[in-house]
Amino acid sequence: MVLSMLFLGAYALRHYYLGYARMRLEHPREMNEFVGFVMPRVTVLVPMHNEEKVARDILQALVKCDYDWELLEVIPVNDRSTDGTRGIVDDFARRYPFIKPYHRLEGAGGKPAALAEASDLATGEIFLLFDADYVPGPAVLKMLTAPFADPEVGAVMGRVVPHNIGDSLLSVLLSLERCAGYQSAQQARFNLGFTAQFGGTVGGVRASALRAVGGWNPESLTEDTDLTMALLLNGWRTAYVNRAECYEEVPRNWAVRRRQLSRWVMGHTECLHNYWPDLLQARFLSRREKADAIFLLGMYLTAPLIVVGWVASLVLFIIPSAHVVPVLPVAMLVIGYLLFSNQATFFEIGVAALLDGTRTRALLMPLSLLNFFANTGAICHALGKFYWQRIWGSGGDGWYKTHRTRLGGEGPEVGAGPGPGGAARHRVRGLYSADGDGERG
Amino acid sequence: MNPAISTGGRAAPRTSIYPHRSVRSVRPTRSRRLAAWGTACLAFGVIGYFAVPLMALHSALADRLLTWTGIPNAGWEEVAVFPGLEPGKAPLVPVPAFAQVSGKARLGLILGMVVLLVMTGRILLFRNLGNFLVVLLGVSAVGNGIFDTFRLDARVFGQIWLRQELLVWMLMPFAGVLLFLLPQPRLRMGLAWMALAQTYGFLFSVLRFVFCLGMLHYTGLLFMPLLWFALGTLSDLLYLLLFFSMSVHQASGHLWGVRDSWRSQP
Repeated sequence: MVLSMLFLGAYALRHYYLGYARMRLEHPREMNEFVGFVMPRVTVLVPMHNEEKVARDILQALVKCDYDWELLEVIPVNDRSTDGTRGIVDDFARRYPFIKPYHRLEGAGGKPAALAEASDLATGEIFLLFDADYVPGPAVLKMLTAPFADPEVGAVMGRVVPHNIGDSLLSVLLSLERCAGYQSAQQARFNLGFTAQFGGTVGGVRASALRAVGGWNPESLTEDTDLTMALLLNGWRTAYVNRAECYEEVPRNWAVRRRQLSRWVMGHTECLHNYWPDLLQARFLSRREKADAIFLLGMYLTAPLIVVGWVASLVLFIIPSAHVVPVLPVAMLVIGYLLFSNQATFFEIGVAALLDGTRTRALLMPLSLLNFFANTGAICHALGKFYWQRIWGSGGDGWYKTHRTRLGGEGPEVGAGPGPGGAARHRVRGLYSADGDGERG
Repeated sequence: MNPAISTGGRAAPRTSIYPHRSVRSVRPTRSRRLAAWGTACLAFGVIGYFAVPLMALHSALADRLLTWTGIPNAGWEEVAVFPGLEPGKAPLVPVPAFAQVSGKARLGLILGMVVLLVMTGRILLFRNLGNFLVVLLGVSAVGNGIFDTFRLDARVFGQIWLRQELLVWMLMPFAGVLLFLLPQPRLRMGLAWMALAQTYGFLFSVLRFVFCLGMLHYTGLLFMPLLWFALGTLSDLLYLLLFFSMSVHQASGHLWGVRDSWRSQP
């Protein structure tokens, strides 16, 4: 019980630390100063498996990006699709010479395996990655390549912004969660000199760095987190660019979300087991950096401890002798712990909403409790499966592609051209516009 | 050449930097930080110093509500809270043993479980919370039915309640620093939100306390584990979150208003 409190208390402190640091520290400007001046040859990799609902949107968005076509190569990786994805991709390839599809007909399934094969064909110095349901704005490619002006930067991560927040209560709550994850946590960690987390989409990796760390790990369920740690251990930095926003479709129902979360939990925890000894022994990482990386990898372990806490408090409630705790410092410690640790994650959400100006959605923060309870259960379930598989060697999940719900022609439309109005010309079914989210007033 | 960047022979403009959605940062000054933490320490001291009168006021308000709602109370008895912060007063509301609990209350528990199960089946997002509440009701039914030692009279309940709530009142100013005083662009608004949350917390505590006493009187301990969870820690979390979300809503409007007026300068 005490250990669980200490562990969860440490995570709560981390949430406050990151939230407060994000509130106080401006994000570094120097990365943005290179936007438009660093134009290496870029390969955009878009893994696709049965993506006919969304393939057209992302390819159209990439065509409308303001990156020089002569320095651009787009490889839609059609990974054994059985729907109309191939036709859509081939149609674009006929019209635009820089789109060079790779049709994968056999081999191991999953995004990491597909990326590993496609990366061998890529000719760019920088590989940028987008999931098929994402819709990059016109300037995103330039923004994502700018940090590579720094030779120490091995990977870069942009900001994911849900566009379908009006779909359901879950999608609004997930938008708050994303908001906290990117605007608060990622930016704060980057500002503080920690490595940002490469998320495998809306991001990029330097081809030479990727080769230096042995390429994508096809065994991993979260090849992005795996790569982040591999890069960190080999001395590369991962930069975060808050301005490089890309629109995604968040799950609109819990069944889809649960499976997505399950994959993240299992992949993340696997990375924790694979990397924690190396992280602790890494000579050129400071103690703070090591602690941050281990905190990052171990974050899903908090869920079962929370459940242990609930069960313990229930047991204590039924035992009459436990009601009498007249020792003031002990009682103050317990109540203080409950008061502060429970608020910690919501503090990050609040800071992000404050900075983003998402006023109306901020009012929905108390409903995030539902999401919190739902996540806690799903994470415990996924961890159970992970450790079951680890001990008994079976029962785990394979790679699972998040189910798309977008209908043809319903999705976001990318505006023609960059500049102040560029992002505003996205037809997004949500509350966002170019600056702020249209909720102000 | 990409037509999106074709300039027709003119110099290429800096196309990629457009006004971003976010305010870059909110920086509490050193004096603001000192004022915030100083205020919290002061509030902590004041609440501790006036703990006994505050608990007496809490009991007086609860007594009024008990009278108003018709929940019988044989009086108030002084109870120990914490050394130096006592005495408090706890009510003597009669609480029936499990064998004396009415059939309606037992039926209510079963109905409650059914309603929660139906809700968890229909609202997937509610499933885990709902299941946990069902478990609490189940544990309560089993605990009441099997363990004779599972007893809690109103006096002890009042004592536990004061022990928890008094500490919440004392520690809330420190939470207020993080949730209200530092993120708010104007200190006076932060102080206002903090005071509002604190006052609401006190009054809401009276309401929840009386509601629990009523449930104790009419249904014994049948619903107590559920109420303990839902109206205890969870409730404190919820109302603080509610005030935090409203303060963010208000502060965000102010920050973005300032940002817009700055941007509109020629």
